[in-house]
Amino acid sequence: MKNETGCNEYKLLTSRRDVLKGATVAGVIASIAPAWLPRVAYASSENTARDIIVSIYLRGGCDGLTMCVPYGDPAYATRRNQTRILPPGGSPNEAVDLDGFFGLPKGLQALKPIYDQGDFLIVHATGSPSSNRSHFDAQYYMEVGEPGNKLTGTGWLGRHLAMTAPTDLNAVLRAMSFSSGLALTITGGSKTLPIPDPTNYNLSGQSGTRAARLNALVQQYSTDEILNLVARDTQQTISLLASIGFSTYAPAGGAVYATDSLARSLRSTAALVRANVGVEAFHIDYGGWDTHSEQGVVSGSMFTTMSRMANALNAFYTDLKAAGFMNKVTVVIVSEFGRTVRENGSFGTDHGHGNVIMMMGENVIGGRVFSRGGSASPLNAFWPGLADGQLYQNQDIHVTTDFRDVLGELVSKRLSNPNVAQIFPNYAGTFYGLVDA
Amino acid sequence: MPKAKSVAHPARGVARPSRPALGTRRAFLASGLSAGVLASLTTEARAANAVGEVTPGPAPKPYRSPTLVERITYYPTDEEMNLFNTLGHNGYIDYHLNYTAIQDTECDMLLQAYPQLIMSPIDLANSDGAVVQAAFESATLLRAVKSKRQLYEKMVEFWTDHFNIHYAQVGFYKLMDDRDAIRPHALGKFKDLLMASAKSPAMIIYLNNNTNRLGAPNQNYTREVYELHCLGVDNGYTQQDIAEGARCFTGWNYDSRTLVNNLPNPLFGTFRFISGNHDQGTKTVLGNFFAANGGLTDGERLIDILANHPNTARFIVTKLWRWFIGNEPTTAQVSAIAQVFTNTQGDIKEVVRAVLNRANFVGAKMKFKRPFHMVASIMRSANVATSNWATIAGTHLQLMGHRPFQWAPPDGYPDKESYWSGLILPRWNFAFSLMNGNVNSTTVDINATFSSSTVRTTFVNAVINKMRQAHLGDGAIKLLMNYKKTATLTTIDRQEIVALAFANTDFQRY
Repeated sequence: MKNETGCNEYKLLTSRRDVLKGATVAGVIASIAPAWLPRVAYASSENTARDIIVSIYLRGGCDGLTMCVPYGDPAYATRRNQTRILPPGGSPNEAVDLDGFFGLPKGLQALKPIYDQGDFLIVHATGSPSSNRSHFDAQYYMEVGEPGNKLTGTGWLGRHLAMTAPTDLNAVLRAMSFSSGLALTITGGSKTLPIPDPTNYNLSGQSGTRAARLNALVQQYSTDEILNLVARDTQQTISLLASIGFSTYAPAGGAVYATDSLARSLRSTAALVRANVGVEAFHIDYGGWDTHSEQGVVSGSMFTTMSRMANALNAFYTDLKAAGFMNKVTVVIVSEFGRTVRENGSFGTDHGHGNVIMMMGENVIGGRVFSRGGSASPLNAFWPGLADGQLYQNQDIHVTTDFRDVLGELVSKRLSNPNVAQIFPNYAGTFYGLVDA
Repeated sequence: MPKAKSVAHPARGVARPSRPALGTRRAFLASGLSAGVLASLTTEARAANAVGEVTPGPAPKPYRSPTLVERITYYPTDEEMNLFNTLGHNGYIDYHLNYTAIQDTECDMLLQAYPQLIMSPIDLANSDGAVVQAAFESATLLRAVKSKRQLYEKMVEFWTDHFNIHYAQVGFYKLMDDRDAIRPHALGKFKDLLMASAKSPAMIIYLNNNTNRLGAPNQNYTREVYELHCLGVDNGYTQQDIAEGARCFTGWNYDSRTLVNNLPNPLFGTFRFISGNHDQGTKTVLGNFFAANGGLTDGERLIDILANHPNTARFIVTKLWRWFIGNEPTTAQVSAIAQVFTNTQGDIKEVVRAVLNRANFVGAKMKFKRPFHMVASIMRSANVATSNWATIAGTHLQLMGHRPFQWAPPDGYPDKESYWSGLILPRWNFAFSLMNGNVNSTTVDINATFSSSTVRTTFVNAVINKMRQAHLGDGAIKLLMNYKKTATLTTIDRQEIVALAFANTDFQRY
């Protein structure tokens, strides 16, 4: 193919489309997946329809005891003081009741209508079995889906993308993270890029030479073992994002997105989902959860962080639900560990263990808080408990449901990927009926 | 008794629609393919991925071996190459380690534009925060570009990441930390650097030692000084050591009083040990017994123990090796240089000298320039002139994800190609914006720096020659030569060709 100016990138797309039109799943995988991955061939009757995953990582270890308050546990009130949420019962800033035992803090009340629709699920006392309380290790282990393994450089969702063919053979972008550095969760698959701001993703300089410069660079990058795909994906993604019309995007259902970074990222996500261009996974980091001091659960720092999160999710849900896409998307929200049951001396909490995982979407069996009991809490069949003798290492909530059970079920049922053992190596999971089959 | 949990979930008001067919999704056929057909599909797919000229077969290996000069400077200027050629490998290292003897007149003069760098804490506190931040960011980039003490500036960058502090959380205190903790000891003794960092108000605020007190311990700093600064994660300490260590640091604070006895407090913004907040009980930390009533010496002794710990030597040596050499060192290589660390009581100069041994460059792999480095190397290689360092260090580096001091968690900006390489677009954009004259108050004199010729072959050869220390390979050279086909070049053409000299793959590495 001659290097002509003008619409070369479109010619590129067309020719590749022609090549892939006749390809089978196996052929496509052979051309895009790294050699070390096992080839996966689907049986002809396999349902390969998949949810789009919006993965939100709450960096810093969010305080699960505040995100979903076990006000029904009598020990809760003895553990928290400045970081305590009062039970429902007539006081301002009290918990919003969910099921008579758990409640939402006021900061998350924008999630309640979604919960009532049955489209918001909270899993409690979940997380990694690793006792590691280092942010960096714990985040790493959760993103790579294998606690203890520091050598793998791919994420659980990235591995899923690497071992499956695109849901849309025309897709120039399969996964993106709203960040400068590619998020580990989605590292591993092809056509995956970090895009800090998809509304501002184009080549600078003279508009008349834009295409020529892009082509020239992609050509030079094509012989680089590592950078060739980045250049190609960048070029194609520039064209893709230019066609989306972010500035005139009109959220459906009267949804209003705020201007904080999470809301803006979800707004861009919604636009890309509704544009149906084949992006399968979005990853957003949302930080500010490492509340060692002055946690501020009813006003102040954590309250603000929670409010922004709930409002952004509410807008996203409203938008996509009205547009008819909330049955094609599942949002999953994780954090590396919860925080200590006992409040510390700085009106905050330190690194803990058991935490919450949240999921949102029509395919989520929501409208409840799912958690399982602990061995030290025979009275609480569904909650490990916060009393003396019920704590993990005398300081934290136990993990009674491994995070890989939650994500594994998501992969199996919502991503139609039966190879959960390769997504979460060295782990035999159990599914608890958290999402629709 | 808590309400019994039923398995069934509450009834939902809205019946969910069945999953509609998605028009643009394609159904997959699934049948096996013969190996031959598979292989041919692979080749076709790969060929179709190449833009322009089709290059069948395996990609040629584009890499070379790194040089000493490019590893210890932000770009090998002619002046640095002359020094290297005159002094030789070891002599050049000596020259740069002896950084205080290097005259830095031009850089010092340019830094006078930023009086904030030498302001007292109270003056900083009373200054406009945005102005202080802009000055500090500007000076940081300016030094990397203009200072003759290049290896020293590389070490400042290294320690800045190692002892990371997020500017947004501490403000001007990070400027003081840079001035009082990092810079004085970047090529000094590790134990002095560690102590200065531990007592730095910025670090005390950032990692919460200021709220760490008797009866209400905060373990944040203690955990990170073990995990990130000294020993490495889970490498010789337990959760108990963290708890006990935190007790040692109780009372470590900073003086936030602007007035004392109604008079301006000369100690405002400096380290302050509040003995009333200190846990004076006995402690056992990392196997060491601390008697009661140790006061300030508890934390100081713990810092000393950490600085002298054998795991610290190995941890620091490993990080320095990765920073300068790139690949993972062997156990033997780490042990040998850790021995130097121990023998010299943590003399950073001697450790760096050992890491930069010529033998260690054999088999060293290329490293990927982080954005700060890339921008600094552009500015050095093309003699970029600017009176607006702030826009480059602030706005442009922010777009590349590497604005100075804006990494929030304590582990510092990563130094891995897999992290940085996905965001290639803002690097290209900086190159084109710069050369088109669209970076505020910033110019490149193409005629003086490269060539005034408008003859394509002449001009491109001049660019390649000027950029010879970038070691542009055949592909990059072809890119510059063939981007335009005309015999003569317009001004825009020349600008874009120079920008391509910065945007190609070879310039991204060192």
